[in-house]
Amino acid sequence: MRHYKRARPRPNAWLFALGIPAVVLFAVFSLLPYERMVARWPFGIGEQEVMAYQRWFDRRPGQHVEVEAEEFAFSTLGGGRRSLVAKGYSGEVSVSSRPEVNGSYEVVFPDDSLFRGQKSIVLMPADSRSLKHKYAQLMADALGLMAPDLTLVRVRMDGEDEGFFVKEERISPAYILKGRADGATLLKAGTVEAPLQPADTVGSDVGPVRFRMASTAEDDAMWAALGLLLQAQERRDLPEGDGALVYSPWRGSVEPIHRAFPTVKEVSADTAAPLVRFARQRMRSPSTYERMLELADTLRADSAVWAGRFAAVDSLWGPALSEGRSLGLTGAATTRQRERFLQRVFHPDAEAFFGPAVAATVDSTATTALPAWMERFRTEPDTVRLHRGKYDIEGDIRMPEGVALVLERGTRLFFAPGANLVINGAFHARGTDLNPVFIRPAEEGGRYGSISVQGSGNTPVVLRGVRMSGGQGGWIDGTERAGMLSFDRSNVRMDHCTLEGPSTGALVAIRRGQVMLRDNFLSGAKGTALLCEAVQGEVKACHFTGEGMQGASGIRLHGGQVLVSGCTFNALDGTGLAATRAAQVLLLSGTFKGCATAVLVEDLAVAHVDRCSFEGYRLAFEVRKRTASLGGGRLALYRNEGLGLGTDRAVDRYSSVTSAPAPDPVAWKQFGVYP
Amino acid sequence: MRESLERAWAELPGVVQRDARDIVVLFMLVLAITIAYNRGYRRTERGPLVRMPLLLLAGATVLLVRHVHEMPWRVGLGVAVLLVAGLIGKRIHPRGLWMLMVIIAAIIGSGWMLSALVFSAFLFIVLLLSPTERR
Repeated sequence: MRHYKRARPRPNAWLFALGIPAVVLFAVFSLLPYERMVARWPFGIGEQEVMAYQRWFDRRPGQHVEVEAEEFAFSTLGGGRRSLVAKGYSGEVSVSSRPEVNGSYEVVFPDDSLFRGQKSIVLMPADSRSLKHKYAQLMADALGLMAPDLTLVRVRMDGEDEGFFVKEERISPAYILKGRADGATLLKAGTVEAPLQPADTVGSDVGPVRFRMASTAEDDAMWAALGLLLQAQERRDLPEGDGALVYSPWRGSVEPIHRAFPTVKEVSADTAAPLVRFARQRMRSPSTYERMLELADTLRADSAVWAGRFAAVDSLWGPALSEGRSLGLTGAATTRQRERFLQRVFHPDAEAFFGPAVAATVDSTATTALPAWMERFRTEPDTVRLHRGKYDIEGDIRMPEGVALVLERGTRLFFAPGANLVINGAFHARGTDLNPVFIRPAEEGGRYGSISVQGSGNTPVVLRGVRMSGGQGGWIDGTERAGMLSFDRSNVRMDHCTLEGPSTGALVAIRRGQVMLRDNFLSGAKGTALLCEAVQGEVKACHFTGEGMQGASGIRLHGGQVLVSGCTFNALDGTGLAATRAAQVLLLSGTFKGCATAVLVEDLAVAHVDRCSFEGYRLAFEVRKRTASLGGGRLALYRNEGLGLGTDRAVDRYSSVTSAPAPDPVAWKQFGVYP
Repeated sequence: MRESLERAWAELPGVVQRDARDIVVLFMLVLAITIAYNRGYRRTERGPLVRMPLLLLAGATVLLVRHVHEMPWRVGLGVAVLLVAGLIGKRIHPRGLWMLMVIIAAIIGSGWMLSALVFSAFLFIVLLLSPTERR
């Protein structure tokens, strides 16, 4: 075979070789319409590479705009400390670089000086991909999936402009506390031994919590929403590390959180870790895939609305992400990105993206069926009616969904120690003063769990003439039942009932629903007698007494809006009425006798107190911020009696107390009453 | 026939599609550059169009670099491949073409397709305009 040796190339060869491709590149990138430039290129030529060439070879004149964004100015104080000045904030912060992405920062704020209630934020350099994250966050908000807000900021370090960054709040217990009213807690990865079984406990920020593998339609919706958004962003990092999953004790479910910029700690490297396996199994369950398609259909029906919302985001963020490119190119690039995102949301292919569906483990402990003896009292397909007589509840009973329980007058239920009754439908007790409904422990001094109603939003619970004692609340099927009587998502009406301790939990715990309590007597709780979480309604003419129990409290409102009128609070070693977590309460004509603290208002709660009398208190009003990420309380006092005999009020610097001679009609009106 | 081929192509996993596409692009570039390198008026002045070992090694380089995703590792691997190619280059003919092919393969493997095309065009013109000498 002949071999040829090439001569050295001549200068004109080098010149032409450099010149001809350069001219072609200048011509292509300066003349190609932007819509074509951002479209798909042949031979697998990627968008980022095209944009890099465009920067060099696109010589056509373009318009550039100045973008306005909030400014974060960091200054070095020495000793590794930094200060931050931003709108409404000025203080010392801890700034560290994140190893995952060059040029990104994590900023941690001191506990006593949080940034708009945020403990920690992540700053990521803004680029064209940031828009996808913003779209996903907007969609997550609409789908009810937890997702920290993303905002665009301009960062200056010691006066030097570092450009635009996307700010995301770090997932922390403080974030969960702000975003969830249901006592949800972050799960910690790798704290249980594999394999994970139903009702295992999992580590969390507040200690171990029960955990179950069963799923509900509500859970599926969360995982399906996350699946849709991950597909749309072409991300394969499932939520599986610390700060990625949240446990809801109210529903006993594990929900994912959507994060644009998870940290290394938030993505587990251990693929065999229980939570990792759980996340993968949950995402790939047939019901999640099915729900994903349903969600996509729902979103597609509003395609024009979504396109409009995203276009609005593009117009605000696009110029900032242009990285010096012309507006025309930026517009074309964002339009293409938006269309591709929506296309992937509206037409998901979960099996291609996440893999074939895998059937999930079924939680065998959560089966619902009536015991044989109760079947005999099934008067209608959806009603069990217990008539006058004695009935023994010897173990946990979970009534089927939609089946109501009616206790007629003279019914006596006796619970074995630790037994629970879960009603997944309406609950009626029709006692009278002469023939009340009795609910007691089977053994003298015994302790049983609870009677709980798992409603569906407006499930009726109507109790009259009930005499009940001995229940402790507790956990069942991975769900926390906080009271002897626990109602979730129900419309609760109780009157002429007497509930007594001793109970380590609440006597009555009501979550997410409506309430109308009237003429009830609650006594002997070691904790709170009435616990209302995210509840709307009225508590009228009820009597709360501690009977010497240490730490006994009357009412605790956790979010929601409640009118409390004509109630008496006697001999309570704890608090008469406590409002927390942005609860709103109007307290009218109350009588407080011998309470350690009569009224406690904290963490963004608002209380109006009018025509109340106070006697024998240690502290009449305490108004404070208890949780760092939340604000203080607000208390408005009107015409009250008995004040001035002890310490009237303790108010911290985050809270306020106002006094006025006449009530505020606007404030009254929201509770449905007029002064 | 065409529909069957298209369907079969669509059913291939994405990663296989990308690899196949990259190999085809590499083959086209190798072909073009070899034509420029081996050009001659008479058959006896031209070498073989494409040498199989060269093509196989360049293809292997594409696949090797393509399947390393972290950028520092990818760059390190690219450099290592070039060093190895330089070391074994003495035994491979034509030596100049061998090194160029490995460089193009590393660029394609890194996913910089446009750069690979531009670099190939540059080489094509240089080779086209430079004279050959008979040894």
